[in-house]
Amino acid sequence: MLANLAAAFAQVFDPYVLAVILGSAVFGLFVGAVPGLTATMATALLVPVTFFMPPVPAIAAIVTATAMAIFSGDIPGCLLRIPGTPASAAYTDEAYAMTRNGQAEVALGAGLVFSAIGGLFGTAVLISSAPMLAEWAIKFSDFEYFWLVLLGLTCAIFIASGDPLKAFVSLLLGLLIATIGVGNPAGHPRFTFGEPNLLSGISLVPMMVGMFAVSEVLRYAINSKQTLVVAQGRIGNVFAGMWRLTVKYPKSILRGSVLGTLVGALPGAGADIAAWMSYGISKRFSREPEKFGTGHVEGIVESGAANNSALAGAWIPALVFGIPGDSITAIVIGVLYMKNLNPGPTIFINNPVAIYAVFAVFILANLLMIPLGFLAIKAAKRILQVPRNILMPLILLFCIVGSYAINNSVFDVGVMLVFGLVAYVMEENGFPVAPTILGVVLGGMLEENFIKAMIKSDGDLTAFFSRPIAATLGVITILVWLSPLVLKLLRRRAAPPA
Amino acid sequence: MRISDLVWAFAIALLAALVLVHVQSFPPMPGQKFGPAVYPGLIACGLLVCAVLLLARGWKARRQAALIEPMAWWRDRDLVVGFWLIVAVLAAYTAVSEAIGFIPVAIVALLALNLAFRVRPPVALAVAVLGTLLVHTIFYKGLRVPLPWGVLKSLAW
Repeated sequence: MLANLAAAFAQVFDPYVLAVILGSAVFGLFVGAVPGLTATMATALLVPVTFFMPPVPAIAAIVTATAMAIFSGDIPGCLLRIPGTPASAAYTDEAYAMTRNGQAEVALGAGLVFSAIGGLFGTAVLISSAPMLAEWAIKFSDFEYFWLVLLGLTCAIFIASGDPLKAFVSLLLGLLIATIGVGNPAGHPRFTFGEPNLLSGISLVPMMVGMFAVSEVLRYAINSKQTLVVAQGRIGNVFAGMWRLTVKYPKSILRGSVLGTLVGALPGAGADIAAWMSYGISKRFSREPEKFGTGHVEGIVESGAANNSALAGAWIPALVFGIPGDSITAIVIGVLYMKNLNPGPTIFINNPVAIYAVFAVFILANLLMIPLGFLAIKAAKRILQVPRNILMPLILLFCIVGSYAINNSVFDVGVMLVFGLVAYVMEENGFPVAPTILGVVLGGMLEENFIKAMIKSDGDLTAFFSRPIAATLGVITILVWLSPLVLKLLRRRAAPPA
Repeated sequence: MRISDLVWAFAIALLAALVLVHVQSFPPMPGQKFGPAVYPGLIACGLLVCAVLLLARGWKARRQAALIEPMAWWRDRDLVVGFWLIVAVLAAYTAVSEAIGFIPVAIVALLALNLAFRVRPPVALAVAVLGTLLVHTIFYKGLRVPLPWGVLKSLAW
């Protein structure tokens, strides 16, 4: 292990990798701070560039950019009352209220310092739990994997979304998209309609760029007349008083970090949901709940730690099972496959150095966040004044070239357009996009394990419950499925007859 | 565009029905009970169930919302032009970039979008030319993506 660790650090501290980390940190800070550009979009835009890099810098770029973007999403939330990324939305009103009270530096400082602490906590859990889980997961057969994937998809529907029915439609759409092409156990070309470009299926990168970047540019187009008003006033020393907050709210920091890591590890639920839940819990357990909403830092401390720890948490199922914990790791899984680092328990045996390098980058990125985040806050007013009407067309051009670059095919630019429009219409109508992405990423795995298990058991469905772990996972999945029905019945019984 | 659950239910049911009909044409896997049609067929059945549930929900709420509700931005000509120009730019790029080449198409696309987003014309022109050259340099020179030269082939650098 030590030799692997040393090799991993040697790879990360290579000047080229360090330059990539620095570059993607600046990119992530910028993307996060511009309203309308999200951390997921940063990842989708980075993928075409990382396509041309060796595995370690490619993954380092994504890890660093997303960590920075989730923090810097706090900046416009604080100064414009518009969250830079959805992960900051939970406490945007609180942070803006603090700015109006002349405490912008405390809100931004708390966002920065506790983001870094939460990120480091999540990383520590990732480092300690992932290899252990992998050792356990190595004994899994098709039955366990089938249930695990189904449980993951179930979480995405029931936990991560306000409207499970529409989320289920989104998921099924994703699963259906994943069936396109010859990549199925029978090797039969499905839904290709004679188009040779569809034989290998819909390319993941153009689809992601469409769903996460083009759809945002479209959304900008219909809001392009909105003017942004930056809150006035000087931002003082962001680090002043942070130690006092750490001593005052140790429980909040710990609770936010633990909850964030757990929510991140749940498939489908990412940093944004972690932040909303943490903010709610913080208010619930606070000694001063009446102060929430008036410019009180406690909720920012807790949910700021939660959203960054969720990033690392999401990597746990992604690395160990190949099941993404959020939209970002859904993209990451695609990148891992492209780099021949197939996720799953064996990655810890076949590629330990690459995995330790991922861990090292997580630590480095969260430490780098403090000085670079400080500089980003100093430059905040300039970044927020970047003319978005010039920026958005450039992003669109970047999307075009990025989608084209994966297969050198204009067909993929068309794919990007179609999925950009699809994602836009879906979100306008309350269909969440994340389950679709999970469906596309996990669809192949779900079908393969399902068909193999069915063939092994000769169509006997009870075989899915014949092994202890498979049975447990199966029962949990079915219980989650039945939960809305049971809740409904309980509510009906509790309510007096009309 | 906000579309009511009722309309979505019909659209989803139609998609599911088309899938179910289409998978009937898939050949069985030799010697196996479970061919390539099983899994997409199950997904389509799932979609049908969702369509029925959406139909029930939409029927209950049928008086509360129009089948298709127009959006406020549809009445603002500038915003409508901006939105559809993005779609048109991407469609046009797909259709003509191989023949005409990346550089001319990208310059026209950036110029049109900048003007649609109310950037002053001289700035828009400068951004279009410099932006195109920057992206071209990064991807063509830096990452060796073979962006098409098209009509500028004789000038290729």
